[in-house]
Amino acid sequence: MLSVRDLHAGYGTKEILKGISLDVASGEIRAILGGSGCGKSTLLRNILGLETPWSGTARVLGEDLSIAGGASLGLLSRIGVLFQGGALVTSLSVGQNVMLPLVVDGIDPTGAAQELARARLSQVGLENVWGQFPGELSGGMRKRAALARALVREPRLLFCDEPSAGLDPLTSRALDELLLELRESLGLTIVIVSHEIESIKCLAEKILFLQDGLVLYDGPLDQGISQGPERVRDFFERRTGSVQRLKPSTWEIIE
Amino acid sequence: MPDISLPSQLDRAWALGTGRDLASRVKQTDLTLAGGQVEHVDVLAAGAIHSLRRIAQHHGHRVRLSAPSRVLLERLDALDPGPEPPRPETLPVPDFLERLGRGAFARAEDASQALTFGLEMTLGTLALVTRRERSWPGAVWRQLHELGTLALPVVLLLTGLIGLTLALLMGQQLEQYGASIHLATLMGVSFLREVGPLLTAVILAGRSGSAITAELASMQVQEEVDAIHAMGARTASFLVAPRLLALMISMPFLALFASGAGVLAGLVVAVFRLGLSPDIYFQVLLQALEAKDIFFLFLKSMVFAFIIAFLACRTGLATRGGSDAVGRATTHTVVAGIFWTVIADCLFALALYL
Repeated sequence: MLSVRDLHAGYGTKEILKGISLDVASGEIRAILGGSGCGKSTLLRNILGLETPWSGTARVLGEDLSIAGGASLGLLSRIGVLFQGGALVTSLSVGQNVMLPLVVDGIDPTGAAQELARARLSQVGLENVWGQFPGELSGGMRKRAALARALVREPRLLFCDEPSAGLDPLTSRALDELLLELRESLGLTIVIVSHEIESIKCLAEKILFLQDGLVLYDGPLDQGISQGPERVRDFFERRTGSVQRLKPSTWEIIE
Repeated sequence: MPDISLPSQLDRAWALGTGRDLASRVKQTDLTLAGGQVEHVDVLAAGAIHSLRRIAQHHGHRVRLSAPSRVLLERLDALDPGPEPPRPETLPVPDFLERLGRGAFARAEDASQALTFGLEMTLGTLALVTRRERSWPGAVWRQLHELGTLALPVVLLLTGLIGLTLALLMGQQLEQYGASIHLATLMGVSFLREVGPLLTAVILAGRSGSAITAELASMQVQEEVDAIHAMGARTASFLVAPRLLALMISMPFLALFASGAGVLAGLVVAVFRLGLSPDIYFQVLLQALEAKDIFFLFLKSMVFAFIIAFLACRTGLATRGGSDAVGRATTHTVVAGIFWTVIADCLFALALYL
């Protein structure tokens, strides 16, 4: 489904990803996680072809999206992306947003596209917001509408960038459960970029833990929590790390 | 080494009083703070004590704690700012030739990117016109309404008022030589050939150019452009082409209407200030104008529209960062739009009238 090999990437002269490799099998839910600034979102942007890697390859369903000229529409129609803030086009209504990928495919928005979009909105529990604009929705509703848009082409692979970010725990949990249901009903493979521990524990079977642009751990979630590197265990137990915990006083003391 | 006994309550008043006095003392001598009695440490006081140590170190002295209470030590450790961050390495100032080279290289790279964007924009528009690629249905009509129709009142009002002012000034001068009748010629020629298209372009650079940049920049910042790209749509045909087409279609007509407003303002002055009849005004006007004036009005306006759309879309889509970046991008579009429009107008004048 997804194969990344020795990927190096960055911005300007700053290298963010220092040789990432990753394989995601069909039907898997894989979480890419790590602390802020570790390179999670950069990895996703390079996989999706939104940035060009310095070296290495990222093949999605057998094709490299970063190759100049862009990927074929056929390939992109088998991929769905849920962006962090939803990234709904604010000048279009929710219904139009969900139909947008179909319109890009050349389908007339007055016919079958409407039926498909309504079906997806219904699937994410948003039957009554068709004519509303993104600015009129709550954060959770925007995420669900964006999820409906990502699923409208019935993709095989779904990328989610921080799906729970900015949501309250209940809404976040509901979104996680929705993703699990959709995985079952649509046979999706899901790649999630996140640092929300509860969400990862609920969704992921395998994790890729990044630190400073390198892979610190790649394997099953349970094993990572119980026997993974100390930094990974610290992350799941919300500990700040042994070095900081035992920081000695810097004051010169006369008794 | 002076030994200062700290009070039991290290509060804001201590930090702003004694703490400040001690700051000048530690520049000359070491200091020992006896803190065995301290029961409470205000955040500002803790900061002042850390500051004392930093100042002392800068001047080759030290600040020590003598038998500090547990409260004092824990509080100071909790608010320890850590080691001073390394100062950024000062790079040598490049000499004139190096700066010139770097500047030239940056300009060449920017020109190359601009050329690429211009080509993508043109190809994207052709792809949309020939229906090989798609935007949202009705996108061009929507942009025509927003960039063209809604701009008409302000264009008519401003060009009408400027026409009135110019006509009054010119009428006054012409009247002195008994040549009032030539006001029609002057107004017609100047507005159709020059003032109408240029003034319309300046107004649209401010109104429509800034609106395009602000919209695209916001879309870029909120990942909407990335989302559209990830769906397989090309930004050149999906986002840029409808705006370019709308500006290139609407601007010539807006310039024509603007010129008409200027000419009508001239008529008002001719009739009510100079005492000419409307028939004579229009007769002289039609004699002075040629078909090529209309042709060049359309040509110039389309070139101006391309320049404004190009700058507005390129700046908007290149925006990175937050809301401040959107503001900067909008300002850049307006300034650059007016600048390059005037340059293009000057080149037209040199080519047509030299």
